[in-house]
Amino acid sequence: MLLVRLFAVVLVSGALVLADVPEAPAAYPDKPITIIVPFGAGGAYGRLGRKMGADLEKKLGVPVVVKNNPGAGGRKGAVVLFKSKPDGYTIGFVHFISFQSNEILRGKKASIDYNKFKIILKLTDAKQFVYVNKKSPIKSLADLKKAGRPIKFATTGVGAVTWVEANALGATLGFPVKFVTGYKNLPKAALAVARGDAEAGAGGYVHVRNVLDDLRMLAFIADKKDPNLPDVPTTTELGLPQLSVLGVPRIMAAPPRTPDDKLQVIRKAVQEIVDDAAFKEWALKGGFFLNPEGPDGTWKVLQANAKIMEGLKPLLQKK
Amino acid sequence: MQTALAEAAMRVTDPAAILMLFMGTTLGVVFGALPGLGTITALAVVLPFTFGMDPMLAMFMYSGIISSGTFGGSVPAILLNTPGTPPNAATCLDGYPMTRRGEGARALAVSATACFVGSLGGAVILLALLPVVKPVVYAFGPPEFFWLVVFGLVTIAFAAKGNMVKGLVGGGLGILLSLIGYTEMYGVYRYTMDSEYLWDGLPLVPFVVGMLAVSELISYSASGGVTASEAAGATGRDWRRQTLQGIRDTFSRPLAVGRATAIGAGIGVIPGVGAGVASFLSYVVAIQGSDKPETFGSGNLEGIIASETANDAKDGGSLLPTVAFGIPGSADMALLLGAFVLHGLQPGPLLLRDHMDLVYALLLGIVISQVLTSGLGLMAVPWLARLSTLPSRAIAPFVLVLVFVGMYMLRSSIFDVGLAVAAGVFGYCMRRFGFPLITVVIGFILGPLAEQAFLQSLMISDGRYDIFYSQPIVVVLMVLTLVTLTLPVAKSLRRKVSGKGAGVP
Repeated sequence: MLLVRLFAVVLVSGALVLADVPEAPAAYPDKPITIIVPFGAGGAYGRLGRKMGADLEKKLGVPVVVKNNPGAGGRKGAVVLFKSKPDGYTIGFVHFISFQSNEILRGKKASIDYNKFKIILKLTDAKQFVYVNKKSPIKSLADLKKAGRPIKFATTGVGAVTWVEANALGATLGFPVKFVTGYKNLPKAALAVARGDAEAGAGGYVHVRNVLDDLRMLAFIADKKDPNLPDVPTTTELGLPQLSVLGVPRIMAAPPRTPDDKLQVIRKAVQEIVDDAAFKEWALKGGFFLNPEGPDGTWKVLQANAKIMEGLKPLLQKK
Repeated sequence: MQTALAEAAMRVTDPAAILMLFMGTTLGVVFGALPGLGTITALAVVLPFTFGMDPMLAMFMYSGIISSGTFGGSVPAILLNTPGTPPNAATCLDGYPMTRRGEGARALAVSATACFVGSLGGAVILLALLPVVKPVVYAFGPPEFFWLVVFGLVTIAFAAKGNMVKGLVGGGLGILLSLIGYTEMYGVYRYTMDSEYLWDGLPLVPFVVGMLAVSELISYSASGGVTASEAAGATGRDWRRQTLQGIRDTFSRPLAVGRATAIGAGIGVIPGVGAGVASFLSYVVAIQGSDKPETFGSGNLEGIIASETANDAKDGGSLLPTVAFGIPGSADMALLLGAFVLHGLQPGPLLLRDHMDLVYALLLGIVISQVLTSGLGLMAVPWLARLSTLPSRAIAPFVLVLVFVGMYMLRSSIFDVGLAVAAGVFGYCMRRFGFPLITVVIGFILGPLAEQAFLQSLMISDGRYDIFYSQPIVVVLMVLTLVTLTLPVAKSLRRKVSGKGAGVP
């Protein structure tokens, strides 16, 4: 008897839940949006996130909260975003490169399937220059091979973007690469090359500008020039277009299963912000290389990056 | 130059600027004094709020925070043996024994005065070094770093005095624990056991605070009583007398203060070494320079002067590579750098050319805010010192709650709180077995820096060890380190020999 009654209760309450008529869909967004930034407040991602938050707030008319969630090379914040409610009210930046190098180069499977993120827009590509110490006899990319000896690069660490770039350059041009690793960030690596700890390095304009007097820029790893240093040739111009894809794409994304209509709203707003002249000027001043691309283009860039990393895998296994 | 300075000086008298300075100072002291929080957290908290502010006003806010955090952190270090920020750990060594003796107010007054002098000295040194910053920054590479850090590690030997084996075990343990995490140098994971939490290693602040603060609070609760039993009957007048005594103590030791200022500012200039090295290194040098080295660690106020002065002088020093090169001298400067960029300013040679007024504003702000901190601090000292006469069992739960809230606020991670508790229990056990905990902390903070500089040096030299003794600065640092280590042994040997000689009839 008790069982029957219990069954009835379950049935009725189930029916009630089902009968809960959905309210008419409110206009999206109608409450605060959170942007998760997977790095600290002062860095490049932090600045970009903060600016995007302020501009989105104006555009969408709802408060936008920027939340820094640093840790594990940007993977921690991504995990938090991945597990957030896919209601369009939590979005963020995802540092995909960190997942890729961790998985491909270090053999560490991520706890989330990062390919399931819904891409909103790729905003910028952090592109790097290849440079040497000014006193070095090397004057061009071709000289790197002609030197006939290993070239030592200063880098943050094994598997970092600049590490990948140096190795890809060595593999493509055919010269051996050595490293001095452990520099905390790219400005410190640039300082190390300027000091003479290592002969060569890679970094963006914002990382090298303070020690430019002591460095010689060899090439810009991109297919478009950096307006800050327009005299430096790109790898595409130098006949190495396969390398030009390298860099750090800064991508805004939403948790998997975020409804497409909401994604569209956010994507349109972000795109409009990026296209705005004031934003462009801000980006140029802050050293951001705007290169907006939708989901399809973004996944292509990520796949190309992954392919280059796959090619470098044997290098690590050798060690 | 004069016009820029005048411009900055004029702006400082603006009511809004004073308000910003005051707010920054208050935040800095509070965040510094709460174990686990600190200057970096305070900066990170205010950064978003200053986004739309006038850059100059924002700079005043930042300088208030930067300069006041250190004194804030020394208060719990002296009164509760619980450093507010990791670099205050060296202050515990002599500050807490003074509190136990009933001289808490004197120790606090020494700290407040030392912070003031250090901050002022650091600013002066910054201005003096501005034209020659490039050769100074360029002169220090990984091999020089290595010897500097080893010099700091020598503190272990002094902190472990009378208990050498346990001290060295503690230091080694600290180094071992610091190895946990992903090492970018080689792209490998060490002892992370596939835990996402351990990817970044054991976080410094929860570990250090757990080790020193939570373990101390546990033993407080276990032992009961009051910290300063001798001061139980002290009156307000006694505390005020002690405060004045502390101010006199500091000013009557110009050599000790000057030395610590030079060391602090010098370490600050070298990017990446940090306040931890500055305060410990200054402490070691103070012991070496003292004619009563055996009194350090049992309440010698020169120990407080050494660590607190260096700690504050470091700010001026580390501002130098930050503004002149865009390369932060320490972690809080890295955040400040971010703040500069947020306000559309690019630190580097151009900033010095075009926005010198902002640099002066920052400096003036640091000095003025330090006057505020030390002045208000000295006024509060007689009241603060009374804490040492309260029953420990009443203080411990209150401080523990603050510690836990601070730990959680840091990264919104409940694991950090758990780690602080675990480190606290572990630290308490070590304490009970007579291990000097400070050695674990020194090993934990400095070990990874030494490892990295050592390996980087070898990568630069292609594996040749002569890099560690072939450059002039390196040789000087090496000789200093070796002398510091061997001198006490040589002294005691000579004493023994002469003692024996005297004994022969």
